[in-house]
Amino acid sequence: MKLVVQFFSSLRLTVVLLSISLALIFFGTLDQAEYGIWHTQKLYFQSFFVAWAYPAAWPAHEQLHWLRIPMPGGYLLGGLLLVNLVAAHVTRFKLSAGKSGVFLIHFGLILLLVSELLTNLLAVESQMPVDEGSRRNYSESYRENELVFIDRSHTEFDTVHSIPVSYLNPGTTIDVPDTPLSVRTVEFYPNAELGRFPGGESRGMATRGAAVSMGLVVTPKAVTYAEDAINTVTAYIEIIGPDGPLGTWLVSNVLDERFPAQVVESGNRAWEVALRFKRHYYPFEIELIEFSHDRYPGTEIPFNFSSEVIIHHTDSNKTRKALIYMNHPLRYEGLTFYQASFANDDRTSIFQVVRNPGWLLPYVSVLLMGLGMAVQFGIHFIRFLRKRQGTV
Amino acid sequence: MGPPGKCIPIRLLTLTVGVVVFIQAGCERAEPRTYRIPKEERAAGNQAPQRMAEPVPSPGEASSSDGMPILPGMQREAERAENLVYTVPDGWEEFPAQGVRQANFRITEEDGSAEVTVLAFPGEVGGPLANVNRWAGQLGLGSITAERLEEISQRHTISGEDALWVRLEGEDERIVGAILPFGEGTWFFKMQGDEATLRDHEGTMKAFLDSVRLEDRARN
Repeated sequence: MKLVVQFFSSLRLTVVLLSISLALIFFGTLDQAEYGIWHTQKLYFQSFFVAWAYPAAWPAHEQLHWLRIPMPGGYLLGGLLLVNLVAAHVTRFKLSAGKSGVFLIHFGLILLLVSELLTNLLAVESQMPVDEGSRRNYSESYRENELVFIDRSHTEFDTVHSIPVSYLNPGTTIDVPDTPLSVRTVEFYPNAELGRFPGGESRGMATRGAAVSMGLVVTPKAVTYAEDAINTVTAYIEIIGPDGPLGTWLVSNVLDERFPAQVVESGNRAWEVALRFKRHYYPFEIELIEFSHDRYPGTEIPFNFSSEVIIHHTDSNKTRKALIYMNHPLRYEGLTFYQASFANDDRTSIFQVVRNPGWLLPYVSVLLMGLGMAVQFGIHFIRFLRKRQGTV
Repeated sequence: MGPPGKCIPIRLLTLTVGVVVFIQAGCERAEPRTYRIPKEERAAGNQAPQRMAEPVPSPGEASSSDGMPILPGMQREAERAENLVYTVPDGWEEFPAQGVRQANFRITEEDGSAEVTVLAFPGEVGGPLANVNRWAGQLGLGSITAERLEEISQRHTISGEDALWVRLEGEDERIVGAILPFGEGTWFFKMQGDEATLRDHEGTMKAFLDSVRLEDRARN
């Protein structure tokens, strides 16, 4: 047991872990060219193990295509560093006035590691485009999709029955929550292109809905990791009512609200069915009053853009105005709204909406580390001064 | 190592187990669920085509994480687009075509303004009735039946092809426009704006449509 403790608290382990971290960042950066930042983060930093493969685009790929370099992922490295630091503290450091600065620095570092883990696990990012003069009460994640059945029969509200697309595995059946319906996935395409069959005749596997009326055909495509592209998630689903199958529909996030709703009827009830970007609804609406956009003279390069908004909360006491611009996000109800982009001839503003319960922790940890350094330096400085006085 | 040292492995173990449990909890995938939302108008999404299809400019760092979708089918139709030729009427201010917007104009007058857009989409996009209803939704009008559509529409020829000319009157705003099935897609010519402006420019809109020449590359 003593050996284990010695191993985990050794400074040598710290050095080794930090060196591997350097390698992880290096190889992650190499792969970012191929997979984009989002996928690389998942692959390298939000994982326990990762293996770097020799890129196909590099010279001599034919001879070296087998080359793999396995290494620990971000979670494992971060976790080990955390254990290492805590173990070192418990075994080697004794709390004393003279070392209080070091303690503060280390505590800040531990907090930083923990906050990074919290952010990875708990933070949710999505986007909210709002047109000037209009309101929106939800944001969308363009990386995640959901299959929804919407019951619009009530006069006061709509009811959404949502199934994450991770449940749509071909051949399996899943119940639609709180409805008499279930869904059997016939085919699932993580990315596809929808087109019209030249004669409008072919309808693939669908027997009902838009695919039939519009003669749509599906061409599967490779998943894209590009920053500015989306995956057209598409599926053929068979919907089963209490008395048996109702038909097969084609659903896709490209068949959005521009198209007539696809409706499923069973008994005397009806639901709109759609596969869409995952939505996050809020108990408030953001109204965009005005979007302003200044460019450097004679160029298309923006130097400032800002959105004037009113937040209409269902609780009218919380209704307020705000101005959102670069580096000046709006923090509201545990969410942060960043000015991310704009579109539609400057009439649509796009906000990045981030829910990160641990957003304050990095600030606290940096503050602690700064304070620790100041204390430690101060202590040494005072000692030095005293010594000098003693010698003089 | 003194007595306190003995409990260190236990502390370490607890910490490790804690971290693992925490990660497990976080990695759990989202579950199917049911939730209520305030009543929403489906037509509220009618701004989507323009928004979705327009390439988002890149304002430095801020939008690097911004993945606004350019829908593949739509963009392809726009790129494949037939040659569009037209004459810009006097008093119309033209803006560059973007995404599925093949042409963009703005009319500004003392007592109001209007916007003219020319859009092209693949397929029938739900047919004339659904699209006229989409426009009706933009004016806050109730849904329009097939019989009512007969009353508010007439045939109009654009570039030698049969199109549907529609006039819709909302409380403050009006829409006049034409829906033209052409080749493998559908073209939408729409003028939307204040009542007074549309009254003055309805004739101009028809003259504009008469000047439109489309060439289907797929046919040649």
